[in-house]
Amino acid sequence: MSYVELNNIGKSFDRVEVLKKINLSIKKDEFCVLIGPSGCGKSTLLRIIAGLESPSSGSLSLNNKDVTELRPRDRNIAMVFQNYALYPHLTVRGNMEFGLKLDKTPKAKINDLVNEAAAILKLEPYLTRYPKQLSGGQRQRVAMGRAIVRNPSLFLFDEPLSNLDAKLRTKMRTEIKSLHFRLKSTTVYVTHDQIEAMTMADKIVVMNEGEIIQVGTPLELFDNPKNLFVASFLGSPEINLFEGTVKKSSDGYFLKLDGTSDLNLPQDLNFNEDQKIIVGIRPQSLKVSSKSTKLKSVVNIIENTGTSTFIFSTVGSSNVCSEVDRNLNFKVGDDIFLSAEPNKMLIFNPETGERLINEI
Amino acid sequence: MYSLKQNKLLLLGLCLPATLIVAIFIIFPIANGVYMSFTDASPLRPTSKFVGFENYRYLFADDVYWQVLGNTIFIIGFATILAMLISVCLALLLNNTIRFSGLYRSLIFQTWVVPWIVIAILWGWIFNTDYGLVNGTLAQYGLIESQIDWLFNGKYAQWAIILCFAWRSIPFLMVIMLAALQGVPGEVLDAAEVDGAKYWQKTFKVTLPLIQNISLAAALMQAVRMFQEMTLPFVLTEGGPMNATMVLSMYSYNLAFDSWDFALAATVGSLWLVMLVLFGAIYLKTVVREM
Amino acid sequence: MKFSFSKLVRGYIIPYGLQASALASTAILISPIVWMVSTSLKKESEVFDRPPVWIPSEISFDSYFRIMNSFVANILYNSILVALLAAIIATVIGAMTAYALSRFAIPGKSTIMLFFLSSLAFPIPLLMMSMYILLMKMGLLDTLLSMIIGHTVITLPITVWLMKNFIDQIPKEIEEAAYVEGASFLRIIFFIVFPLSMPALTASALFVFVTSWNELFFGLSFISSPDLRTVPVGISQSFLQEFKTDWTGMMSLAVIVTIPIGIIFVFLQKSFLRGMIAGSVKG
Repeated sequence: MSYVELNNIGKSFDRVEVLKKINLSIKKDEFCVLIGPSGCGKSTLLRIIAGLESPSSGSLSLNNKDVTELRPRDRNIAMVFQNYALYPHLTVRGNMEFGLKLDKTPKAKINDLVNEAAAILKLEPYLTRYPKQLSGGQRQRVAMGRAIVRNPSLFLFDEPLSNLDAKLRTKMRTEIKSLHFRLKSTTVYVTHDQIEAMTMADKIVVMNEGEIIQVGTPLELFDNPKNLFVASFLGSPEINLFEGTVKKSSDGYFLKLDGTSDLNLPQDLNFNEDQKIIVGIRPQSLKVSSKSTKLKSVVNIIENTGTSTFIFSTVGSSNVCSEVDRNLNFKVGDDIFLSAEPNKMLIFNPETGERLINEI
Repeated sequence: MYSLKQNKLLLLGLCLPATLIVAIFIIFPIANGVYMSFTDASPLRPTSKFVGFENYRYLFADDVYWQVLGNTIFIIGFATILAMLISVCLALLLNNTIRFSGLYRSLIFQTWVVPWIVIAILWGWIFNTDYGLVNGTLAQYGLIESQIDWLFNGKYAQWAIILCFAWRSIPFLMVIMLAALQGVPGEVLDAAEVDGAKYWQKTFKVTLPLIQNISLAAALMQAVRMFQEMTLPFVLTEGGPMNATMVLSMYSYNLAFDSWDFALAATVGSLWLVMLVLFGAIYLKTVVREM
Repeated sequence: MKFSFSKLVRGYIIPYGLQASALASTAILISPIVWMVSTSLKKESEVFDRPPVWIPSEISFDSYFRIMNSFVANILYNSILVALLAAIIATVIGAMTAYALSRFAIPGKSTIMLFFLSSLAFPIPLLMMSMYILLMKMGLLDTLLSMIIGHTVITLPITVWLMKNFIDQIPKEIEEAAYVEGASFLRIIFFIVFPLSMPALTASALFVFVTSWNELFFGLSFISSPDLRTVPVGISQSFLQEFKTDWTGMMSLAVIVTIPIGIIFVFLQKSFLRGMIAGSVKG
């Protein structure tokens, strides 16, 4: 059963259409991440769900109730902002109880709720401090505490981790995730960071230019992206793209790349000869072969992150990346041969960017 | 969060008081003032009639008007330049890590709240011919032989007013420039130092150009405010001797509330408005565009 | 240890030189005020001494007692009343308008702000004439209210300008957070925005207060009853005539009417500067 339901939501600011007919449903307890490049409309969509903006068209229902016309306070939601938006003139406790006081919650209950949330978020020592006396991570926690105490039916996060440094971001990512696991709260989370999306989401919504491109679980989107945009947006390092013309030889279909290299194509698909296509192969699937293949390449850069080793090499005129065993000893300038399993190849139409699966 | 359509009532509630005040007591008086400059209006007359450009013709032919305009520009121009020079030096000085620099700043800025009426009588005492501090001190160090009639000689009286206007403008200008100096990013100065710039080179090639716009804006603001200031000449010199310290605002005030010639006073005011518009246009074209 | 000239310059001459120049310039700039206080504390006999005496040989408060009468108390009372009410009215109305200008997409916003800024330089006598006629028709001439109105009018544009620039810097998200939590617009404005704007509110209230305390000409032309005179009007209209050559008396009065505003300013200077600079540097 769907819990949050967006029907044909559209939004224009002065003739500029920022959202075009958005349809989306989110299940109860689901952690839904909206992701896309900046300006794709994801934040506007979140603000419409919050009630901070009203849609130009369409409707929005929450828990089977139409809330399109309701003010935020009547929607029972909580929101965490990118810059935390803590009340600078109130203490941590004051920040956390602000909303409860507005709801006229009894004093004793307020105290219980605040103390409980402070315990969960390890904020107990800081309750009497002011926001400016806290570190970035602590402020982030207060912002979450302020959301938790109100026990909302929907949590909204607007790029909550983007003001933190890389290390803290990883830590808070896990904290938010375990908090969600514990509180089982329906969440809509906006980010432009694909790692956050992949690691946290039950469901990812990829957006671009005011439209939803694809919806699915992280692995669905990673393995089966609908088009080039999704394929290149998710995954780090980015997916390798080989553009070329389909040719047929005695061994079956292969892709003629510019230069001298070729790439064998999956044999279970029906290609047309001379068809132009783009083949996408993730770095993890682009192996360095010990045998000689038709995909010959020169090592440019070797990047060792400790956990994995990436080799950036040149095929023809384009750069490709492959993840390799760290024990293989390559040097810059070495010639290597690359190969990939046919079932790990994603085939796209170069004109529309759409994925080609059955229609070939 | 807000939209013009949905929160009309809130917007109206927030803006109504100010809108009423501005409409009734600023926009109407200005429009009415400009209108009066084309009539022979006076509170002493029950009705007034339209006289075209008669008032303007009269004013342009009047030597006193041109003298007053000249005085005003001379006094305010010199006071502003003097105040700017001193304020820049002071701000640069106090921006160093000097002990008590916060205290010095506070002390200087504190003089900014001394009421104009107090300054007027204080200046009368300091520049008093027989017993004043200025003549006393100058005589003490043998700089003058006879007492100077500061307030009864046209040129000296103008300079007494200029000194006072400058003294009064310094605290505000200095504080604004100190704030601007503190806004100059330290990295930029470090970079200049790494590039081998000496203190004076850093100051003239980096610091001052960076605070130039703010300082200029502050100076202009201070100058236009001085245009409105008339307590000092009114109380100290009564515009004299021989109109030497008569400034435009006081001239216009006297015409209105001493001679009760609203029409002519309105004409002076309207010409002032024209100058203001020209001034503003130049300001917007040069200073703001560069910002 | 080797003697080094540049070390001497860097270590002693420059720091002490700077300190000395800072001290000297401050002393010169505040000397008129010091002279005022010094004169007011002198005995009549010492006032005319040559060369000028900065520190009275004997501190005397005689002149203060001499001039402190019901007239002085009355002009102080009137000034405090007018300045306080004008400060409150102009600041509250200005802050409300500033908030609307900051948060609503009002068309022509920059023109409105430019108009407010340029009103700093409007010819006040031009305004006063029509105000005089209006107030006469309303029957408000010769009341303190006429002065409160006058002082509110000439300061309101500045309070709007100061407050708007300050409120612009408060992140909108704070208000949105409160809105999502269920706060009404009025609560957001009065319990979130205004407390956060304290420096700017202080700055503009103080600005109005100082302006009102200073302002002579509205009082001069709108007020005719002697017992409604404010400090500047009272001093220029009666005191100067009466005490023409009583310099200690005049300086004592000067000190007395500077004290109220001086004390407020001592406490609020920091806050005032913060609000003033945040509100004006942008523009």
